[in-house]
Amino acid sequence: MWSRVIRFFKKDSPSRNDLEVWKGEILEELEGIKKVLRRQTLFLEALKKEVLAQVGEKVLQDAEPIRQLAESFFYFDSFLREGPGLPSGQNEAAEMVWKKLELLLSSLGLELIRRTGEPFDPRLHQTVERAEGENGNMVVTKIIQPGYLYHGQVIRPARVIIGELPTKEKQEL
Amino acid sequence: MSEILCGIDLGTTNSSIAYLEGGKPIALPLEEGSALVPSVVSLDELSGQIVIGRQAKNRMGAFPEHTIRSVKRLMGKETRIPLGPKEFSPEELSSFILQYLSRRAGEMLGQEIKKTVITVPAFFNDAQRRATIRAGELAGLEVVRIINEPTSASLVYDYASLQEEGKSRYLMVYDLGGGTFDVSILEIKGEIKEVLASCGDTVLGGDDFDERLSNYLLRHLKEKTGHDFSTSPRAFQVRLKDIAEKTKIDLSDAPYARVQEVAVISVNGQPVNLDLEVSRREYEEVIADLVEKTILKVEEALKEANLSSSDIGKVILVGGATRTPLVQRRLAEVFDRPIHHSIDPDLCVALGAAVQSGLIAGEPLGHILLDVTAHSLGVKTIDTIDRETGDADHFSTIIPRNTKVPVRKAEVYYTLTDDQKGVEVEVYQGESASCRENTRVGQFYFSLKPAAAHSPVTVEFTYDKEGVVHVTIDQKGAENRQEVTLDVRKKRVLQREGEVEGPEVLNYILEKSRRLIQEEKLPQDLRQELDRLSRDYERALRGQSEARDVDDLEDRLLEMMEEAEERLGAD
Repeated sequence: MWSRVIRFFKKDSPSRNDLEVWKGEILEELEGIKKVLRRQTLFLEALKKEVLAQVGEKVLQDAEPIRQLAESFFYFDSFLREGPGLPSGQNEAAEMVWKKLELLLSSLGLELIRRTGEPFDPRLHQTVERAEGENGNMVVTKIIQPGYLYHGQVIRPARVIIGELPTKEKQEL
Repeated sequence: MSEILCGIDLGTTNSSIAYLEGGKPIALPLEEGSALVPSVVSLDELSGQIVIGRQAKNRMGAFPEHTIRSVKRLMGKETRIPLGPKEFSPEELSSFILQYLSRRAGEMLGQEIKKTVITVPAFFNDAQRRATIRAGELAGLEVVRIINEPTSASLVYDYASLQEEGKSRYLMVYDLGGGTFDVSILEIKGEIKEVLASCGDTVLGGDDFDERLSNYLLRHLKEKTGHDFSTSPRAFQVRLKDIAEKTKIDLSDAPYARVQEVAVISVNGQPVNLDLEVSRREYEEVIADLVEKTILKVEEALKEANLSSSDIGKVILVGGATRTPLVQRRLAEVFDRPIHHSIDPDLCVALGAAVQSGLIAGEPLGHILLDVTAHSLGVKTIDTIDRETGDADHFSTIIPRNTKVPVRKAEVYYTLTDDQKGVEVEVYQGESASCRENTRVGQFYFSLKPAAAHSPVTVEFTYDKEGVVHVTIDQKGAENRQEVTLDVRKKRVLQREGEVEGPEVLNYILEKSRRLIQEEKLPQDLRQELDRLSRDYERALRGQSEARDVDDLEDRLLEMMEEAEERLGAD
């Protein structure tokens, strides 16, 4: 096509017929390029979808040992906090480990659902038990199994026990 | 834009919706990437809203008096079900599920869903079927047809690109879900499939397998600590059941599963941990009687239909629990042929309903293109000796033919002698029990660490969509493993552990053309021409040609690839 374009512009006083022929050839070729580009775009779109899906699957697969480690630490930490709870130094140490673990998980797009005291959200929490009380202001009082999110999507909700948010009076008592 | 017809599997535990795209049924992942929507309805009294699916299931423990599941069991009954202060009929509650499925599907597809096919169990009576149609109407849908679940499952297999197993006009659908079991025998009369016999057990399913495994773990904990935890708090029971379910899933693909769970419970202020290996054999021992119950029902259905197992042309597996290897093996023994599934057993009823909707709409349905293994894959073992050469010749299947890919499967083998130096791992594909009659894909040597005879060696195959098999061989208990990658289509070893990967792919067009060349159904002349053009194009791309030639070749190659895809689609 380029040779035709060059001829089109360089040839001294081309005949009207020449111009018409070259124009037709160039337009035809451009049509071909458009077709190829369109197909290439489709190919690239398909490739992008495929690659993204594969990368997502691979990341989740590769992150599995880290997720399992975080879950194991969750259960160990929960055990340590049973009864009177942790002395302040140990509590601080555990929180530091959690911060590091959560940073690592978030670098992989993962987030653990593990916190108590948060309002019950049926998207994130699956209730296993509900403590006696009215229906209003239900909060997570215990996590039985942590859940997790991958780029904001719930892969597994946390299994929880919920109860009422303690009133100010109850807290003061 | 043409109207979209959907197929809905309105299940007892889960429901799903599928539609046809280019003659292929696709289940829609409505909830956080999952196509399975729990059949649970909950009333949020504060907002006055009806909540469906996963969120409703998650509310169940918090608001049990506002939530209902398994409403399907009540279909056709003149009853009112209270959800908090309100009352609903079973069809009204089912209509909420149908409305949710069609609305979410419409949002995903960018088009309102107005017509649908809905599936019902084969044993549903007229009142139950009419209640299902009424539920559809209440949801604002035109129910173009109600079809039996086993018929629906068989439809998707009819259109799948699988080889027919015999010419028998009878087929059996074995449906083992989470909580129920159904077996149906169908007779094919032209386009019509008639249910000849149907029986089952309404309280038997995969959940029972989990419970048996939970009890096994409880016994292990009792042996370890001397304490009986069977009446321990609910939180512990819930966690143990989850561990059991995960172990069950692992054992569907591998002969052993490692259970390592921290602080499952505490005794005298000390954490009790679970750290054990469960073998598939141990698992199968604890569920054997449950599987036998289903086999008795299979025999009952055959008797009711006045047929014998040899009369059945095809056995179709439906329901997640059919992934259990023991189920497939026992059925294989009864029907004297390999039994397995290539379509997701959780979704095939909905996919079949989508196929039915396509048939009603008169859509051109070609073969459903499935990513399945074209041949069985396995290794050579010494169980049989070639009479001519005296060499080992037995083909031990690890991944059966027509298994949906990607897939991961493992089998365990045992060494022959004390301190055996190593094993020659020879990977074959084919259907014969003799390796000589199959095709060798590749082989490699695996050195063993000193161990007694009959030591276990696990061989695991991971087969991806590109036809690449990653073989992992593991000498159990010896910290000795090796990974090798094989290209099944090209029949060669691609990469051993630690090696650098092979030739790079120049661009997506070439990669795609190479994939097309590997398609077995591609006509020979087209394959040769495509191969020649691809090579010319690759040479041109590598810089030995002028840009114009590259353009020409690319154009011709794209045209030919399009033709190849059309031919494959038409076939």
